[in-house]
Amino acid sequence: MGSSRTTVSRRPTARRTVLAALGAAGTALLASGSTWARAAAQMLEALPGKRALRRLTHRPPNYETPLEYFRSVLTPNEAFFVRYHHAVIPQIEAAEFRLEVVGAALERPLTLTLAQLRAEFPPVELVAVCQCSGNRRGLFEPPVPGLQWGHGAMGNARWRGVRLADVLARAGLRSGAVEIAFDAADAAPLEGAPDYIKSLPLGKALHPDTLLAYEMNGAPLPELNGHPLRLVVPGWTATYWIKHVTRIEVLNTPASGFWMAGAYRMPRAAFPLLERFPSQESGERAPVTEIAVNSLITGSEILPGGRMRVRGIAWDAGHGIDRVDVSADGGRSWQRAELGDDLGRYSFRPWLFEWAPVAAGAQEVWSRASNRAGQTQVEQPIANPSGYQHNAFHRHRIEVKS
Amino acid sequence: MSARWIAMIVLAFGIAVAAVDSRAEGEPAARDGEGRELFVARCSSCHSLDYMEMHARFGTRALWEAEVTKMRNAYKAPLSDDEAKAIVEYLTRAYGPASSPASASR
Repeated sequence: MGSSRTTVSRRPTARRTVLAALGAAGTALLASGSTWARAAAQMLEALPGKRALRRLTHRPPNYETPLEYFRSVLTPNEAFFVRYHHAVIPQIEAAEFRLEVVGAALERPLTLTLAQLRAEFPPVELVAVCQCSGNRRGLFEPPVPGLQWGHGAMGNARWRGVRLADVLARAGLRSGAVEIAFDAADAAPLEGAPDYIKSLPLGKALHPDTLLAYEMNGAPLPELNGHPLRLVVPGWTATYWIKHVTRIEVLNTPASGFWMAGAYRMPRAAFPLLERFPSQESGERAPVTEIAVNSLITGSEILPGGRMRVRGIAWDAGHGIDRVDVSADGGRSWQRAELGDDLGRYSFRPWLFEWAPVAAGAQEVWSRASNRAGQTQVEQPIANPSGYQHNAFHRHRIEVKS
Repeated sequence: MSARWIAMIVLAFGIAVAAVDSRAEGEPAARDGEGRELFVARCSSCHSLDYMEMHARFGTRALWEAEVTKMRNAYKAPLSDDEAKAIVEYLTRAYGPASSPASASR
């Protein structure tokens, strides 16, 4: 098959290079003078540095983590899911990287190198789940258009970086700021198409757990997870975790681009969010913010004496997992699972449950997590037009031998 | 990143790296049907066609109309009304619930 790749850079001092390739169809379009030239830059690198992941789409690359990797509390970098909106993916040399911090409500706009971020700001580490708003979209019935994710558009990692609040303090945040917006080194393929820019409310941006991270599980960020710097917004869905972030803009008015005003929104009444985004709420739709409380059964085994054990993980927006209950009888009765190590309130929380099955044959085990804010998983996912926040009980089939 | 710069790269290197096919290795081919060439020319330069495969199980006309409208309005796909209509027709026939999976994944 004719795949081709070339690495190009504008000039020796170019800040970044792009992997671009163009096929015959693109050439024909160029020859015809069409605007399609812009669209013909294709990222043909499959998945450098990654293990085999479940592919949803080649281009832009969208790959989810197979379930077995969730048997460890921290998701390995090489197995961490990949999600891009645009096929033009930047490759940035760490030494050439610059982060701009701009906006009218700043005393001193800044440009920072990665070395400055590492050396001049106190490092912070925390474990947090990065989960796509549309994780499990493919499980909705009736089906909902969009990437048909299974359970693996998420991962849990130890992030190391600097506090966004510290960087904004260096720039001298003045009154009048409403939101902080983040732009990355990626680009929409067509002229006029909206750049992927997301904003955060001031309170979330200044929260001490909101980071500009340069490391993930003790290693530099992988290329496909935001190298060399990404936003980490613990508790909120991955739509805000801007990868390859190169520009931070302090806004005096709410961001109005497509990716804020036109996407990642849900019916406000359907989802009882505790952390909201008031400056972006309009009409009946509100932005997705917090990760809904959820759980996943990651495996089961038969123990000596005929007992069964199931293991899993539970997570939420950082309110903290209070309990996980398991039902082996279709929800008629529930028993409390044993919670494992606590790596912090934004982390996956492992759990296990053992019981003696009363009958042989195929059956289902259900898991249901509840958090310390009093939220609990739902029996059926809450229908919404874009298929976000699927957090129904996880149902896992087991075979009990007689 | 500047989209103009990307366009410059494409213009400068596009012809030099021209290959037989615009798809990356392993990408699914477009399903057969009237309107296939237009669909491939207009849609596959920005994204692979596994997006279509993924929706074929419930790819009704209403779904494809909504998707093509989104591509025009949100992603600025420069389609004329006639082209949009032809692509919706093609998608509805080739990637509808009654269609069969692509035979080719060259």
